[in-house]
Amino acid sequence: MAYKILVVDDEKDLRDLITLFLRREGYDVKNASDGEEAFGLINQERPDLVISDIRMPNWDGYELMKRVSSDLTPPRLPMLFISGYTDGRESVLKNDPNYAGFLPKPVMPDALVSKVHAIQESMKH
Amino acid sequence: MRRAVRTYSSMTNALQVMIAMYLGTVVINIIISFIQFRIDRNRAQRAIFLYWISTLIAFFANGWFLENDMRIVVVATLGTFFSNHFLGSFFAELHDVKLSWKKLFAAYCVLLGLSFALSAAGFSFTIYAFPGIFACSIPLFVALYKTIKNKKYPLTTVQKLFVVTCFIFAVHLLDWSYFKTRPELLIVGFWIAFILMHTLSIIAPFMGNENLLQRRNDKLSEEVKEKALQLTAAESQLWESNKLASLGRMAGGVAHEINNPLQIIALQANEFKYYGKQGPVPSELAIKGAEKITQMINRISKITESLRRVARDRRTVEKAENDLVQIINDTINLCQNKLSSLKIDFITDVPQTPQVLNCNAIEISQVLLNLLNNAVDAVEPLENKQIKLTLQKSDSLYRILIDDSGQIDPQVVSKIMEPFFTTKPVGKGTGLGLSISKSMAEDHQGSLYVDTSHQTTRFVLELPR
Repeated sequence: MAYKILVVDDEKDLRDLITLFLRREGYDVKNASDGEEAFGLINQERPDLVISDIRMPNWDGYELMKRVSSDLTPPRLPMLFISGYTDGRESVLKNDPNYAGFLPKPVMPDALVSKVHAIQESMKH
Repeated sequence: MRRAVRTYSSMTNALQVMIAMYLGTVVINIIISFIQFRIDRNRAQRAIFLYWISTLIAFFANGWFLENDMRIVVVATLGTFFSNHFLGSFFAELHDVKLSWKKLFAAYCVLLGLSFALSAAGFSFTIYAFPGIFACSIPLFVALYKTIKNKKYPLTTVQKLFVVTCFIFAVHLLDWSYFKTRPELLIVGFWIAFILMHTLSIIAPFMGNENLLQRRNDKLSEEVKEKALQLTAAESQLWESNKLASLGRMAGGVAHEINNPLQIIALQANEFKYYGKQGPVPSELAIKGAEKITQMINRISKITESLRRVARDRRTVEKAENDLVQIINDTINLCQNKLSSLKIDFITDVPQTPQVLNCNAIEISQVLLNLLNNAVDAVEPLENKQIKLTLQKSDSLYRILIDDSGQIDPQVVSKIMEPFFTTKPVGKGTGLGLSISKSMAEDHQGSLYVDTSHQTTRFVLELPR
């Protein structure tokens, strides 16, 4: 079964392009425009990895991570964050067991894929 | 006339009394000026002390050598030369001008030599004495000339009086041969000299004080000027750091506005690469992708353009005709992302047509940035997060209203514009934003205040058109 990735970003063009790119890399990709929608999809689709923006309307990246870690059963779901902005609060994310990494935008597509590979590998062990 | 004393020893007792008074005046002045010099220890006081000493010498010299006219010229003028020299240096000291003692003495010697030559050639006293008598006044004339030329400390009223006194002193020897034949005039002349002497003894210290005060004043006002300059520089620095701080707080939004489009461009480039590897890129795909990139570039340049306009050093920008709507939009561009990421309901009511105002665009946008930052801080913890920016126009002024859904404590309103007053936690506010904003509004002949009659918080920036 293909590795399932959920892409969450409020910017449609960005979301679509990442989805397109990752699909071509062989992943089964779904996407959502904010944390709340993403949480619904996580429950439905049970993805293997979430790639999420941080600043989004409704639930932002922090909120999404909090909900995943507290409300999801089982609560294990690696989350990779990409954001165009760092305000120092990202360190809070690192304390969460589901935190799988942070990449500042713009992320070069190759770097994104290698990061995803790395997470995939680490989850196998 | 002073030297008439011994020659006319047959003079009345009254004259002798006057001579005694004259001598007494000189001695008293020597003592007074010496005490003053000991107290003040400045060069002007020393000069006036030496003046009285040399006057005393001149007084005795005048009496001793009256039998020989040429000796009068030598000794009396030498004494007078020194007394004038000291008066001149007193003047020079008060007026901050320099006198060359050597040159003046050389000029005196040359003119004295001329007196000798004229005497040897058999000219009358009035003629041969003139160069020598004139020579002894040279230091004073040079000092006065330099003082008048020195525009920094113009002559005060007291000093003008002094100049007249000195002039009479300087020329009083010229009438010597006339007095010789009219001894009765000596009494009148003596009184004139006596009064002048007293005038001088009163004027000189007074004049010194007047000038020293003037110079102290000058020094003080120079210091004040320098401090004012330092203050202005410090204020400018404060301004710049406040600007950087408020820009920094919006920087997240700016970074987001640049990095998101960059991310899209990066992904789009990857698309082209992918299709390019397969063969020619389908034209529809190429056009759509290129359009997307152009869109993203426009988005980035909009923000960098706004940043460029707002983040400039305000000192490099002069007041000019600016479009107020453009200034408002630039500022909003920098805040927009922050506002939307904090899920703040931000409403603007600004005319779409250009509104021209003579202003410093950086300063106005800085004031707006400060006000918006404050509004963001105020509504952030609230349930109902709303900020509204309105631009109103009347005949005489533009009024920018910044409303937020928060409430200001009425007790805080009176202090809110004071420097270093802040209600924000440590590290979040410098307490300078509003006081700086207010002074900027005032620099534009405008005002910045809180409209307390409004139900929720309303800041009003008024700028005269």
